[in-house]
Amino acid sequence: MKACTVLFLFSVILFFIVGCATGAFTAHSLVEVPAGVPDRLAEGYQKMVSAKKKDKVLHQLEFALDAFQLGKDEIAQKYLSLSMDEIEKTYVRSRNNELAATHRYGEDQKDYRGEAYERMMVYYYAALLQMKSGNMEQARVLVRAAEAQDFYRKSDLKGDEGRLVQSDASFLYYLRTWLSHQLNEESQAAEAARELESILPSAIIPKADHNVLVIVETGGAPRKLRDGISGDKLVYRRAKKAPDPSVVLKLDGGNQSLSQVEDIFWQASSRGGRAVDHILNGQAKFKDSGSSFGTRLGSLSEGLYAFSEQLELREAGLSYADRQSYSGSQNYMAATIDKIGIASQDLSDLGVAVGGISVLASLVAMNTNAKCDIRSWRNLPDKIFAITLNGGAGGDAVLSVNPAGDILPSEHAVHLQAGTQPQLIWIRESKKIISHLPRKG
Amino acid sequence: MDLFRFLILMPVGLLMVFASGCVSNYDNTPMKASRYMAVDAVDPVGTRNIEANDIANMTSQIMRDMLLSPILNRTPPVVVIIDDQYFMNDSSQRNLNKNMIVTRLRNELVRAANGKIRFVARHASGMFEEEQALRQKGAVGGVVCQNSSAAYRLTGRIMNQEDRMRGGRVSNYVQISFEMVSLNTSELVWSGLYELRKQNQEDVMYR
Repeated sequence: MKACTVLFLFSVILFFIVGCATGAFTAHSLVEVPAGVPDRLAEGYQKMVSAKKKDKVLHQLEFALDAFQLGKDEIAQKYLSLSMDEIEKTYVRSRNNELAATHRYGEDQKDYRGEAYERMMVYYYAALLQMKSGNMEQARVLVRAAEAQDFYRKSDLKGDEGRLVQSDASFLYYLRTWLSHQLNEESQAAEAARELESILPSAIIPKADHNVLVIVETGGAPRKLRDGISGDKLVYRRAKKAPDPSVVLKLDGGNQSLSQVEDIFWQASSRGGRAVDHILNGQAKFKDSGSSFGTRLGSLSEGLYAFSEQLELREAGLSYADRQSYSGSQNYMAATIDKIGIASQDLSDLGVAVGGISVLASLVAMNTNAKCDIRSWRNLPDKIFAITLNGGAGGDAVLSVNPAGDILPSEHAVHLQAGTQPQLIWIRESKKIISHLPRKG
Repeated sequence: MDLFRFLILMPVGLLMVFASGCVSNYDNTPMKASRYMAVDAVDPVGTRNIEANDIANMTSQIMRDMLLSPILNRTPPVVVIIDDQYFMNDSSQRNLNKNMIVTRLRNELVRAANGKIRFVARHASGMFEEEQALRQKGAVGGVVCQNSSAAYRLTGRIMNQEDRMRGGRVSNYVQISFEMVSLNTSELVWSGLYELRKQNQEDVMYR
């Protein structure tokens, strides 16, 4: 007997060891950082390569954007491409997604591919990288792909017959207008400009001879938070330090204001609660229906007990008039039971059985993990500002980001190339590197 | 009695060990050796994009159309340029190598036309000019020649429109247009169109 207990305990210990095995072998401290990765990104790289499969894309995106910010375009390109490959696999079966669809796992068990606004931003950054390398045609393809991600979101709000509606991401039309000009496709540029004007009437449309595009990203990423008793509701909040800045380009002694072409927080939150319900679909619905099913069964059980008492009264020779007040449907039920001639004991037994099922149903509902997925891409901006201009003879300029309130403005030196070749100047107000930072929630 | 309990408990313990081994968040998918597939077979990956079989079918169809055109297939043979310089990807498919489409079309046409259409390799003009420069310097023998002029040049556009229906169904309508433009008059002398429409269903978790 003693040997048996020891063996059993040994098995249990083995169970825990095996459960941890894969995690231990992939501890990120063991991962070697390749030569091309800068020191500031080393820890982020280690975290990314040792991340769980379900979080891989999220780590890749944060790492890619950090790399882009540090001017490591090749690294950024590589990990954005890998992420896009995964994002486009939305029709492929995934074990993690199957688990996430069950009641035992939260939504964050699924393979992260981002919400619509995050997927849109993946293609946006991939497009910026192409613009930097001078491939305007591929950049426009990626802008269109970004728009397609926004289509997804819009169509969620339509009815059964609903088809996609156009994307409302004004900055993508802005980019497409400018890119079409660079490709000498004026009719395409005019079409994109019309779309831009319809969404953002205040937008300053890029002109045909504007070969320089200046983009400034300010503020922090939209935050995802859980709401509701069971944490099943996903709500968006603007980044804590997200003032309403003004951005000015100081060139040749003159100041030109950049116009705000996108509010990423608005893109994230414009679906409101509706989309969240839709994303949770099976799981949240299951919890709701599980609770109410249990509750309804409980009520039925109580009702059956009550009628069994009434039948006992009848068996004792009392009339309907002597019974306590019941609703019309309950009286109808009582009359029906009367006609069928069910004995009070049968009804009471039935009540006990239904009551048992109701307890079971409630237990299932209590054990449902309906927590929504709050993993978010943390180095996205809050707002995007842009301006296009003719580079002319080129020269040095200063971009000044002036946050409202008492925060000091930040200034960024930029250089405009002479000539007519397309040029992208991309500035991020925040210089923070975040891919190595621990994640909350 | 002890033996009996031992026999019961050990399998339970082992079962737990094996079961826990399967619950992992890390990708443990084993590698698989590659295998050949027919170029014109339907791709098992199941994307909504232009795939290998689309390129094979498209170029074969367009090649036949071109050969049937009395303007392109006549005596004396016309000189054409078929490359991807004016073949624009205006779709949302990022992983498309448009040069594959144009190169396959050119290869098929060169073989099938058998001299009835002549082709200028403008995509290889750098190589030609390099050789002429050497001849001009006297570094190599031969007469200095001029690059051939073409009468027609291929232009085209890849476009698509994605439609998304309730329930995660997504369809993609792709249109690839091919046009032959006269380099003397800018007239459009021939055009061909290849269309495809695909639909798939996305995972419920990402709709």
